[in-house]
Amino acid sequence: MMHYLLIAKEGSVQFSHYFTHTTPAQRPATEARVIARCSAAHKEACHFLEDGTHTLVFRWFGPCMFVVAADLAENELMVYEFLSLYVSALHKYFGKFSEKHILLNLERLHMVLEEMVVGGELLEPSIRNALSPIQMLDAITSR
Amino acid sequence: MALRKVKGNLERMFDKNLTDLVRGIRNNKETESKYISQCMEEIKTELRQDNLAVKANAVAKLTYLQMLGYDISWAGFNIIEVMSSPKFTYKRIGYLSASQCFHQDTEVLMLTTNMIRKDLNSHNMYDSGTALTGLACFINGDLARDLANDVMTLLASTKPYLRKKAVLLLYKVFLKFPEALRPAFPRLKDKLEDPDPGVQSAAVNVICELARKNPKNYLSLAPVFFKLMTSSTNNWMLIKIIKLFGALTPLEPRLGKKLIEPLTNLIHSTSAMSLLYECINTVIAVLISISSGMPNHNASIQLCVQKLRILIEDSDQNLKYLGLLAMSKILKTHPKSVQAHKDLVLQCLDDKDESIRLRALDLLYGMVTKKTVMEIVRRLMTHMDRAEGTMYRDELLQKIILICSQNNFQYITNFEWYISVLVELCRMEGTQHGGLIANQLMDVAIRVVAVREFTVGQMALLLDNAHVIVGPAAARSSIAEVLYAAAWICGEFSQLLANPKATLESTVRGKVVSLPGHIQAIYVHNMLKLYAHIIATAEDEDDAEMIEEVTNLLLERLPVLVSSGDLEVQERASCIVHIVTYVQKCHKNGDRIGGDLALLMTGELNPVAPKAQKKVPLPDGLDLDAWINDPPSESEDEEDEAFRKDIFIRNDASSKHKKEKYEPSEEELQRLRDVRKAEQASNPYFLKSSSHANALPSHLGLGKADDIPIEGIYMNVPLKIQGMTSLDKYQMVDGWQDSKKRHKKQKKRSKKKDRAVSSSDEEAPATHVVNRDVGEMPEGAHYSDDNEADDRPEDDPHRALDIDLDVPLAPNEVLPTRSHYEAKTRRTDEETAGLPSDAANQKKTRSKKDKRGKKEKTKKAKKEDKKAKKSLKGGDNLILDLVDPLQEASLEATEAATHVNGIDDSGTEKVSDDLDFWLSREEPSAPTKDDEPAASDTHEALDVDTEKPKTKKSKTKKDKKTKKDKEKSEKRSKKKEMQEAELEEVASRNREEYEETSGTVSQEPERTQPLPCLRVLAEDSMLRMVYSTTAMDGVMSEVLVDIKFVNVSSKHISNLQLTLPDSSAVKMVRTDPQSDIITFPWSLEAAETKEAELSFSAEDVTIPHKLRGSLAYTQEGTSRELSVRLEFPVMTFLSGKTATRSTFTDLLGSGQLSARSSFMVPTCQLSFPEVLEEMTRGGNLAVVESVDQTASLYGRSLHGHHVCVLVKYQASGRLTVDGKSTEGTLLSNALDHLKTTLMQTKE
Repeated sequence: MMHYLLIAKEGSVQFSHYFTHTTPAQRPATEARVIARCSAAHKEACHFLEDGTHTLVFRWFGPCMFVVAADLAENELMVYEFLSLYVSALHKYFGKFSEKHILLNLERLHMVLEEMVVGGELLEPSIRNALSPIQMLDAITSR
Repeated sequence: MALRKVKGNLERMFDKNLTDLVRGIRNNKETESKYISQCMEEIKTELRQDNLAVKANAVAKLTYLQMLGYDISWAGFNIIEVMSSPKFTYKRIGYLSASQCFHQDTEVLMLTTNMIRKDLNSHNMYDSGTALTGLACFINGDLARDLANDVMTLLASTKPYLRKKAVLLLYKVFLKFPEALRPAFPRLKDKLEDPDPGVQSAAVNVICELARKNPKNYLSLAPVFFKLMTSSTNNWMLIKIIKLFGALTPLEPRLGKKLIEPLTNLIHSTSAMSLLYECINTVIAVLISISSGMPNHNASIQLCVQKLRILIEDSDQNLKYLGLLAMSKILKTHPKSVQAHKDLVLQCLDDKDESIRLRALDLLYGMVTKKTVMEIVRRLMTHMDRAEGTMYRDELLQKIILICSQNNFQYITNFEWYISVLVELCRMEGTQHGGLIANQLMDVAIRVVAVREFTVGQMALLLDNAHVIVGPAAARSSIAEVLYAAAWICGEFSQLLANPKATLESTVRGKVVSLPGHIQAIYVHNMLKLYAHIIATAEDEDDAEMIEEVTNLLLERLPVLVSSGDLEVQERASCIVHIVTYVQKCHKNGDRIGGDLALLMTGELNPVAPKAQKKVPLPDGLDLDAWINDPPSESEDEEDEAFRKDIFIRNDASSKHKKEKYEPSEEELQRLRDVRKAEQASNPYFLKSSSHANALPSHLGLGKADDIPIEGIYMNVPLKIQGMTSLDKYQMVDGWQDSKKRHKKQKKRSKKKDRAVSSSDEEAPATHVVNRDVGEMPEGAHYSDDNEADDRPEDDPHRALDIDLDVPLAPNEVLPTRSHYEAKTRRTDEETAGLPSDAANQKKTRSKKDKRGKKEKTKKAKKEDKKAKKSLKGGDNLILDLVDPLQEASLEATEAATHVNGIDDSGTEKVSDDLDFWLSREEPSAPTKDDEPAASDTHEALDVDTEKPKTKKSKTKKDKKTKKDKEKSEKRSKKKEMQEAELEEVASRNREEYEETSGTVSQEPERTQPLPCLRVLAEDSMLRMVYSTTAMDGVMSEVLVDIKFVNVSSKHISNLQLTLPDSSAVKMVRTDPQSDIITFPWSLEAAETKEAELSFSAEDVTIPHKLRGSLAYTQEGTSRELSVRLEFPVMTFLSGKTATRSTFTDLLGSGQLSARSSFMVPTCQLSFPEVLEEMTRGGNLAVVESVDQTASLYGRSLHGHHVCVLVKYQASGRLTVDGKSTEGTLLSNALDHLKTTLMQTKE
């Protein structure tokens, strides 16, 4: 099970989504620690880190770092693959996804993620299926 | 009013939206906090407006601010307002905000129940979807209880989009409301076979999560998952399933055996690394769970190790990391296969990535052998010098000690070397593992008598150079702990000290006071030991000067310690001061007191087992809970606690502090001591202390070791201490190169002798005798692990989910529904108030609700409502309680509830023994060698075929998807066909094997057709008639009866006429339908046998039938008549000819076999093959599979009912027969019949 997903750039959080709850008070400290640990790792080093009861799986996409904290028992490679799936979904949705989109389309990022993951469990491995409700919604609102 | 609205809209135009806020924050980098507090104020005013659009905008901004770390908990109510908006875009903003801000203790959640219920039941699929997603984040116990039923309703939704979300949400519901698990589970299980792959995958996810925490409750699902695993191509679902199997196999080794083959196939075929990794992991788990070695297991372990090696050699660090991680799991059970890859692991130790190095370190632990331990430790020591961070250095230190000390120093042959390693480790700066080193030093000193003298010498040096060890950096490390060990060792074995006085001096030197309290205490105590030893020897030598010197030394130094702040130190010091003064006084009087003084410290120390204290039996009359004195006040208690912790070495303070309470009497002690001595005398591994001088290994040339010229190797250690041991010499004198050479010689020698013996490294010369006992235990206690408690933390929600799912639902186990809830509370109100009857009151509430709900009601809902009312009139109490005619949706809910809560005994009960059936169908446990290559050939052929569809990374290329899908499905079906064909082949092979074995029991040439079961039809002195029955497969419900007429007399028999009137249920298929009489056209000579065949048809094949009639014949003119009884037990209607493995599997997997029955024969006189013989006779049942003393049999009735039987034969002659069928009556009758036949043959 995944617990949260962070997107960080230059050491600061750009986007966070929590699948399971952590009290808001703990979040800044956790996020700072996680980002510091992941950023400290060498770029070619292993992308899995143990963080207490979670495994951190992180991946760089351009200047942005995507981090997922998952259960220790979770298959790290699967989470790793999920990150790339998420990014390709965003690519597909935005045309060409860049860090600019993160800032200006936060709620879309949440929506895409919510279509792919519910309660920390992977819901939809197909990008097309995941995007179709959002695209439909977009079509309705633009009308 | 209108003006205000316009004004609001106008204002809104100037409001910031989220994008403006984000930009604003970026543009005000320097004054961010000021800017944000300004925005917060704006948001607060926005929230005060009535316009929902404005509010939604404000909430969206708040969600962003919360992400940045600002507290927005005050806005909970506003978020709920936005959530309840009818407009989807706003609603979504509200739910998103709630999912990120609310948690289970958020109080406003209480207000949301009805709103969320409304959304869940909304006609708009996306409303419900959003509600489901949001709920998954913030659900709490109350919401879970109140909404469980609504979520269950959504499981039955027609839209897969909602079904899959609802399934995933169920997991959270279970976590918060464990009571829901049992009633909801059957529905969840059904979702595993949902037509939509997404829903299927979601259900797999949920069950996998549940099962990982409480695997034993989900064992019964193994067949379903197995089927999914072999049929699915969704990699992520496969990963989950395989992970689930990994959790189940430790509980059921048979399952593991079954899994090996498909998993190996996957390993061969998949190109998805994540799947490959999961498969390897589960194969490892399987191999761990199977204790008995199966010949082909070696192959699978080799395959795993090979694949892992590929992963580790990969340039991708992630794969390397995981490869090492998985390798360490194999290491635990199959160290040999991993040891072959030592080169690789050592290579990884040099990796630049720290996490890789740490994983490699884990592996090293198991790679050590007697031969390699020195080399490996040397490499680690050099790494340690190079290591930059203290964290990694500490990790290394810990690993070195773990490696050396595992299994009570199993791999250490030279303990002087090990002591040198430990001493070397003492010099590493800033370590946190001082206690660990100290423990090792003491352990070796106690266990290895031969190196005691050496150790004592080293420890004396350590004490002498304490100031070097406890340098300025020591404050942050725990290195001072080694002084604890040093002081204790020097004191305890003071007779081995070269210069006790010098050591005593070094212990009392000024620095003592700066050490931690518990170490000071040990110092003080050991001063006394040293003092006693010095006095005793000095008295012997009449060295009065020495006595005076040491006495004065102590009396001069101890007062500092008497005034120590540490209570323990103070007490011990003052005690010793008095002893020393007393000794002084005695000496002044000219008394010799050394012997008496030494008595204080006599007694031998042996290692104590880690659990020994727990196993000490409670002496009679000791009540540990009773107060000895009046209970002290709280504060005193705390002080006491802190004080105790300081007395003992920290690692085991908790286990030891009980010790004080049990004080054996002097006699008991004496007895124990005698027992111990006797034990030691008989223990060949125990070296008596008196012989230690002789036991010193002569070849080491101890004294000369320092004379050997040593080439200095630069080591980054703070200071070299003169005389202190260094590892360098072992690299020269006793290094591994040397021993390698020795081994080569040995190997050569031993190769000639016996290869098998020399294969291991066990022959490395042991230079020291080690007391490798676990340690002393109280009498009668065993060192076994009997406290395997649930180690999950108390608050782990999964503890509550440890629920047996196979027990049938009790009537009270239902999901709470809202109306049910309300009705209940109302009723209690009435009871107290004595108001009108339930029904009237309920009607009232209902009509009220009707009014409220009218607006929303559609026509359809009205119809449903009527229906519901009808059913109410029907007086169905359950529905009466559950119905809430407010909305169509809630009606649906109640329907679902009745469905869900319907008690389905057979459905739940059958599961557990389904598994047994399924698992009993195993591969033959030891395939003959001829079979093996053939089997692997077919695998390879399969692999070639399956490789393509799976390797495609089709996820991103959607355009070609349809095409590919077609291809895929074609290939899949092809693959399936092949698999089935293969399975059938195996099945037939199995049967052949079985028949061969049974053939040896009864030596008959014709074994292709099993012997028919012959029964007597009628008999007298002249004629004997026996018959057998065969069910006709081709023709529906016809049974062929084969009657044999035997003329047992010496006379001619003719005119045979059988009169057999039909009964209501059984009819004969006649040539002449008008007549009951059959005339046989032949006659029987003396001792002649003739046969006749008759066909019968039965309407009901589930019950036994009987036909009565008579047979008339003429013998030498006299006609006789015999009454005839033709029996058709239900077995008659069964045929096993159609049995194949695949149909059997499908049957068990399908869940059609609802009926079950079983019986047991406590002492069966027959052997297992005989039992099978009995059951298969006449071809009624066929053996599908037989393993050892277990067999599965199958038969199909003439009407197409399936009967599966599992026979288990235990060594004691206890026979259990379990049956499952689609038809209950048939099954019970069949088993009754089997039982009687088995009992009869027994007699």
